[in-house]
Amino acid sequence: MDQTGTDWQAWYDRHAPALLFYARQITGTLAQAEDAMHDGFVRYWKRREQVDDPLAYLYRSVRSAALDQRRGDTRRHQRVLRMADAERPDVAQPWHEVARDEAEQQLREAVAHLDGPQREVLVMKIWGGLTFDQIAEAAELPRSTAAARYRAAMNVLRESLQTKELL
Amino acid sequence: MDEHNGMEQRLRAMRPAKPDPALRERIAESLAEEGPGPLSAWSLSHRYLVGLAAVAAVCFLVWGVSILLSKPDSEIPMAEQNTPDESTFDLVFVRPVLQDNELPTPTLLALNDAYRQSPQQVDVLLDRIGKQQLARLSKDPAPTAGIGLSADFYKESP
Repeated sequence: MDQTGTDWQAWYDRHAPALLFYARQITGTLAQAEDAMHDGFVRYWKRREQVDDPLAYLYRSVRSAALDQRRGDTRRHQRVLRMADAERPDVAQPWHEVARDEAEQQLREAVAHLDGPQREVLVMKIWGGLTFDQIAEAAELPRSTAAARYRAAMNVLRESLQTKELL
Repeated sequence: MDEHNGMEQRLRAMRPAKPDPALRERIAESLAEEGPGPLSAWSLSHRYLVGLAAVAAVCFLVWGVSILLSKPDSEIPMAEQNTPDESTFDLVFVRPVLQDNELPTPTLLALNDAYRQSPQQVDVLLDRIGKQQLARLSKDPAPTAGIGLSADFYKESP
């Protein structure tokens, strides 16, 4: 893995699944998430030499592009985009494979029902592999806020599963 | 804490879906079209150094132009005006600057020696020098002495 960012394909292969999943948390639709990932990745690649932390900047770029996609979006447009997603069932699923058991399915649903800011931090931490410092830089948050949101998300997930006695 | 770690492991085991291969192609096309420009590929430190060098070059150019514009009307370049030639240097820095009709003044060392002997010796020294110069002036009369005093100043009072 080229940490200096000279091989974009290696970067893409390593981070694309988590990055697209992250963008979907913001946009809500796959089509917009793909556009956001495209714009964010291209922006990141052009400026990668100028940033201190490329991974944090990559997520920040995609986040910014996703917010741009969502900004000013109407419900009608969202509905159209969801229909477009539904026409691509092979790639519209957010997860790589079907749930192995009921507990995993419950966990997926619990993640989907998390508060947006908590889910954003959780996705960057768990699937993006970012540190709290990187999450703070990417989401433009204080580090303590990022850590607090992560802890809160974990508590919500645990409580959610305990309620259903699946933990 | 164990519950925390256990939950993290379960979450990591759930892998997000891979993107549509078409997205990878779109990104590849965009990167091929735009391509990083020569400046945008430079790091901030490189840009800073290049900027600093450019500013220094501009300052040097402005300084050179200002020197040329401030050249006086005379045809002698400023450097030549300010630099004494070899003979002038010899006159100024090696020999005392004395015109033919100019009076030498006693050196500080001679005055100091005389004063150490007695204050009266200073008067004696000055008188002696005055007489010597008076004698010289009488041979080669000049309207005034180099220090602006007339020759009468050195005449002995009656």
